[in-house]
Amino acid sequence: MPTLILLIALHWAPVAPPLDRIAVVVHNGTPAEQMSQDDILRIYLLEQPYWSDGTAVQLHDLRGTQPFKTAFYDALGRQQRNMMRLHMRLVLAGEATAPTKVANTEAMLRSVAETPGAIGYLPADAVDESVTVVAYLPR
Amino acid sequence: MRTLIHRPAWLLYTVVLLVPLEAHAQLGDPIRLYGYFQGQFRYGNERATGVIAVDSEQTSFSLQQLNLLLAKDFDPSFSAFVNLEFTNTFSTQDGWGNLKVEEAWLQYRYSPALRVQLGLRIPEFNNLNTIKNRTPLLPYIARPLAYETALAGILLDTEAFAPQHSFLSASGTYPVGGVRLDYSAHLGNQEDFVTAEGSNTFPTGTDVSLAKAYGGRIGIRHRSLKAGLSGTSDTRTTDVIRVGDVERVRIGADLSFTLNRFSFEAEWTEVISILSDAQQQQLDRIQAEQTIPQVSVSLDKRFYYVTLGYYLTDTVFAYGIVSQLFDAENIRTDDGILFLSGGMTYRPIDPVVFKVQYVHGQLKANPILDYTGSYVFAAVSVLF
Repeated sequence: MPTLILLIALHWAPVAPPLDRIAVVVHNGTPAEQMSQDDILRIYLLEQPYWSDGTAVQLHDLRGTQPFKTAFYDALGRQQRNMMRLHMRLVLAGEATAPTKVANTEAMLRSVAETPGAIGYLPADAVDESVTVVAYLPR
Repeated sequence: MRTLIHRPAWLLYTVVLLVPLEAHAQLGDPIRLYGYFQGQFRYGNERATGVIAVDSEQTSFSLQQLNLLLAKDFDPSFSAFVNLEFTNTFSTQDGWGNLKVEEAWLQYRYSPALRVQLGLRIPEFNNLNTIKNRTPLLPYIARPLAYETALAGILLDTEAFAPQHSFLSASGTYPVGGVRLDYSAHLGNQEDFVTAEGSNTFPTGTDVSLAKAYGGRIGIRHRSLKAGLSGTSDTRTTDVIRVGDVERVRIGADLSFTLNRFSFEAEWTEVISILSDAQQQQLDRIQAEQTIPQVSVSLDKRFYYVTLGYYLTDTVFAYGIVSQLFDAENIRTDDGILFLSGGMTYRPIDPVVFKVQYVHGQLKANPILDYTGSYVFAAVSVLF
């Protein structure tokens, strides 16, 4: 009987985020609670420039080539150099706004927290209450 | 000439003066002002015998291109974009180079599946047409033949191989699972449009013909794979060979993908002129009468290029290109121009790319012309 109670208690206990994963985060107040991998891919392909409330999507990306950036795009099934070319192509064609480039994940957290409409990605263990997690991606 | 150069100068002044004001009274987000430029060094060694005799070497530095881009989102549905292009070390003081409005359009975005653009725009055709002048995107300094605007009007009718401008276009993307289906359609003036030069009724540069050009591209994207089929239809005037207006159809195919560190990119274009029996007889007569061959019996053209590249590191890319162009209308290029090239790029940071490229060009049209040229280019392309 105690074992059963323990199992039930564990089942209903809050599930801790998997710390080895990639957290996709948005600015608090952005009208997005849960996002699928396809939703995130659509935003990072620059196909969705606005949130449902009309706020512009402020896409955040890490500068240059970094292992964590590679891991994020790998999780979306894309190569980071191809995504960089796609972003540049659309921006130079006038069809998209350039992503905000930040130097590292600390700057990413700070900028997403401060920018309405922002979306970015962080190591799961780097997330705090200043941003809202909308998805976890495998790393 | 001086008038032509000075005329667009007010555009530059307008841009520079108006942008800092940022139009606070207007709707939407602030104007985004950005752009790119490419400066280059070129060494050339050319030898030719036949109708043109050349034996020369040249070296030159130039600001090959500078583009100023202005974009504004009025709201989620409406946006506008202007692309001003300065080429060949543009200077009104020295009287060289050129400034032109490459693009200026208003876009209505209903959804990702439907966007409509009104205004001057470069139409989608194969892979390279819309980005042929976006230098930070390209590993090339000298572009594959049909896209090398430096050759336009000198040796090649480069504008014959892809549509240059449209005035009404629609495009969109449909996601189907992990695959993106793309389409675009455009409508505009014919490339060789009939100008209103000398008319009292229409402004200079107005197309006064009823014939219009239209076309489009359908494509598919999946991960790094991108492939498409393109087509256009228009009417061209052929003053030189006096066969009158000719219906012209262009068809093209493009394929590009990356596989691990390898990159592959290829395009093929066929330009077909549809002649009536009377036009073909006229063309045959002209060819029979000419003492020195200048015109072939066909107006058809073909172009292809294949680029194979390899990422040595995340920032260093090496590539080789084979490109060939056949233009049956011009007897000098009837047997084809061969373009062999190899190069490397180094991108230390995303907005900056250093480029080097070697080009070997060959044109044999015995006994008219036997030309070989070797070029070495170095350039820096900067997105700002």
